Amino acid sequence: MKTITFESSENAKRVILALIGKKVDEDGYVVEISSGDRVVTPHNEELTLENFAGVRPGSEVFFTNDLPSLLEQAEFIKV
Amino acid sequence: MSILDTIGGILSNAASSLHIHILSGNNTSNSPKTINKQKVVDKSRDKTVTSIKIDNSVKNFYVLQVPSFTACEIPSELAPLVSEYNKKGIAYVAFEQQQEVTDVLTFEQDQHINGLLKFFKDKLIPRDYVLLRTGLYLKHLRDNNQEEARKQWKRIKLNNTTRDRRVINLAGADYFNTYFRPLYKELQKEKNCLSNFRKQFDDIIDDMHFVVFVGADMSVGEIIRELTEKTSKNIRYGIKDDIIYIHAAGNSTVILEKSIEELRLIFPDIKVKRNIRSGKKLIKVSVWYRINKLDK
Repeated sequence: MKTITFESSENAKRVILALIGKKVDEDGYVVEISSGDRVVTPHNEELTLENFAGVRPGSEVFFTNDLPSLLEQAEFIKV
Repeated sequence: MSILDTIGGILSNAASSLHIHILSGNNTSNSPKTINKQKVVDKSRDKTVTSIKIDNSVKNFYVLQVPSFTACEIPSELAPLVSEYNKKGIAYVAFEQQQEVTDVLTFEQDQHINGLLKFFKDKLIPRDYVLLRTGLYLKHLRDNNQEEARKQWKRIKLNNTTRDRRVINLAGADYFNTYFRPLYKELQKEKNCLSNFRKQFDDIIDDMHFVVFVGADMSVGEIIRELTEKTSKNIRYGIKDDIIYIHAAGNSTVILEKSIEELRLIFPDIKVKRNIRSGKKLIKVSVWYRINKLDK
């Protein structure tokens, strides 16, 4: 699997989210375009655009920009 | 280069990690051709600056000029990226966070840190192990780059539970080395060592019976109350530790300083240790709580 990095601008995040079928609702939460359901992290927390730091495909694991969330995915995030 | 050519380049690139600089709509100004990513720690100003310099030395960098679109209508040129993600061929990571993970992994090469992590790797559940790593790295940041430490702690507070923060705080205050490692070694003499250790670890995190972390928003009364409650509970449940430690750092040291005289009136046997680390004041108060005037 290839890892693509992007800059943490709001614009770049919105483009990445659109590419995986997500958008941002009026409260700043990431939602499914198809259903409007809010997406959640592995710890069942709703994901905001501000906290969004990446995603793994397949079962679609979203992670946030805090160290515990990043370190849980370290094996896949590291260069 | 057309957007299709760019995406073709991205997908055919054999590198495991590459970077895209996204430009959208009419924003085509200052479009870089290649990128050189540098992270500079300016200790004198207590700042980490991630700078992006444009030069010709780095491969695997692409400028993706995306036309204006709504989230519901992806332009057909971008379809190959959508398709590759759906085939599990692509994952996306914010560049800044990838750098942070790299920094943590570099830090963990330190012999002492590495030894401690190896000791606990199979003894803690995976979540607690990650929190241990976070606490150790956060302490390193606090010692070397307080602005970055504050930024990281703000994110941790936002996205993690009280229990998570307790484990991180204990790791940052060296308790995995000074308390949990000896505890595990003691339990090794008994049967079911691992399950006993995890149970005791959980109980300790729930109760935090031997430690008080002072928050900047706590009052003198709250510090005294937390300490006296823990004292009563420890005595009631026959906890064998004789000392409760109170920790404060930075702004919260002000309120702990104000509490010390009052603490001495209740707990005469107190030792106060003050330190300055990277310009930040730290206080650790050891309270021998069994000798107290609570009942008088």
